Amino acid sequence: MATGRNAIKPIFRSGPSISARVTALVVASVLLMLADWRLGLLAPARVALADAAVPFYWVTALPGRMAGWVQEVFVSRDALIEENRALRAEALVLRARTQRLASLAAENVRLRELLNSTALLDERVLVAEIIGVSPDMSSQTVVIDKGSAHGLAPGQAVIDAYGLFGQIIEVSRFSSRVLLVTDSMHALPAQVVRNGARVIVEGEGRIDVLDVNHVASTMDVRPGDLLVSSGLGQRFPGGYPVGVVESVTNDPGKPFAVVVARPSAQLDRSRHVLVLAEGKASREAAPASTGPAEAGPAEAASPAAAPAPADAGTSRADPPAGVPAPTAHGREGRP
Amino acid sequence: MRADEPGAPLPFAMTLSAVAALLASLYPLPVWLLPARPDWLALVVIFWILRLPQGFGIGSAWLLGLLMDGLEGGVLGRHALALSVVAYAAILLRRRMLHYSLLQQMLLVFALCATDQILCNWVQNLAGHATSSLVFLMGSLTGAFCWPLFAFGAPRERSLESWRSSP
Repeated sequence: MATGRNAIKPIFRSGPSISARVTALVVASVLLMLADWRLGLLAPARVALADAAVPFYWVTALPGRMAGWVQEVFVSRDALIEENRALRAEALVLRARTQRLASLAAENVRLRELLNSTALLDERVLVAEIIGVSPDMSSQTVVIDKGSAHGLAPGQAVIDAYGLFGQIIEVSRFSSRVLLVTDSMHALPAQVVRNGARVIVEGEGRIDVLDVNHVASTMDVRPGDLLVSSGLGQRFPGGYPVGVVESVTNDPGKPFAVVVARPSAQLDRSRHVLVLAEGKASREAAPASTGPAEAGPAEAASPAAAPAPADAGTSRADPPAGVPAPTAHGREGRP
Repeated sequence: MRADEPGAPLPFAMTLSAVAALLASLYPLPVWLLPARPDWLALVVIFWILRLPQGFGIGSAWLLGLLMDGLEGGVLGRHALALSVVAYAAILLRRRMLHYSLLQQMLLVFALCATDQILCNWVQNLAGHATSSLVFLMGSLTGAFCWPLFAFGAPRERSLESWRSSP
């Protein structure tokens, strides 16, 4: 016992006792948490920390990038030719679809003019790469490699090739944090494509589950229904696929049906995402009154912004295939 | 300070292991593997407190946790709180742990890692991210199984025999 005490003595020799130290640090942590999360005093520090975190995320993303690079370098000529052929065929199909879309879009514009509302037809997007995933299981966020230096701002919507991905919640200079639609703090207004019924889709904290809340037992929602963003919350543009209804459980004793959906976006597989550029015009758009029964994305949107010249890394997004003419673009928020 | 211990607190090795632990904690894993990520930070804290209590204390653990909070983008102070408590417990248990067999050490490491994760989870719950299951404790289990990797380091050379031989 005595030897042990002697050996451990150096700890106590300098400064206050460990109990005093741990108490002080615990109090400091609690104060820090309160200042950060309750009072929001540490926003500048958070931005600085997020900047400092970029190299770390860059390093952790390195193995994945290396694997991709190796795949690119050591791919055979035949495989490349095959891929090229497949891509060309796909491009042909997509181009054919776009032709029809152009006429549909024109028709949509005419109809909207008749309704006295206007629509943003195309949207500028920024391609971003996911460089980090939140290590914390209870919060579903990812880090992307574009930040305020590229013109991003909190609140911008993020999509991938298959559907709505999430929204930007924190921006530093060269990276941003994206809150996924499945996070338990996330909710967005959506509607059923089949009949236009409006619902609220909430995340649950699991990557493959979306909860559709407050669905009256009498509402017409069936498994297989596609849910698209409705644009009513003024944060997400309308018309992007959010999820597909997986199950509808009607409990006679409860006022609401339990509806569970699967997110459309490949939240755990996508490597590249598109950040919808914040058009100034769409921000200033004032909500115009629409008909009482909305059967489609019928909220107000802004006058179509003049197509800006595509800068580096910026391209124009065509609406995802399989979605009925996403034209109106409002923004939605977290309720 | 004992004669057989290096005088310098090995700042380089400490920084290196801390950075490695942060990288390992951030490394993107497939979703199904995510709960099983060992609690690297707690392991490193326990290791350095066993190895060099003069060089690595509660303050260092707190700083390491704060760094992790900054990298992770969660509530600032969450890991800092949990890791300083782990460091405190590890300092209290240090002498006992040095005398333990590897298996007993692993049990204790599991308890310490679980303390870390429960505290983190508790703060996260208060911040509104509700978790209902105890799956998050998987990381403590895998952490305990990773402990032999760390036990190859310093604590072995300060086993019971070395304590006995010194008067």
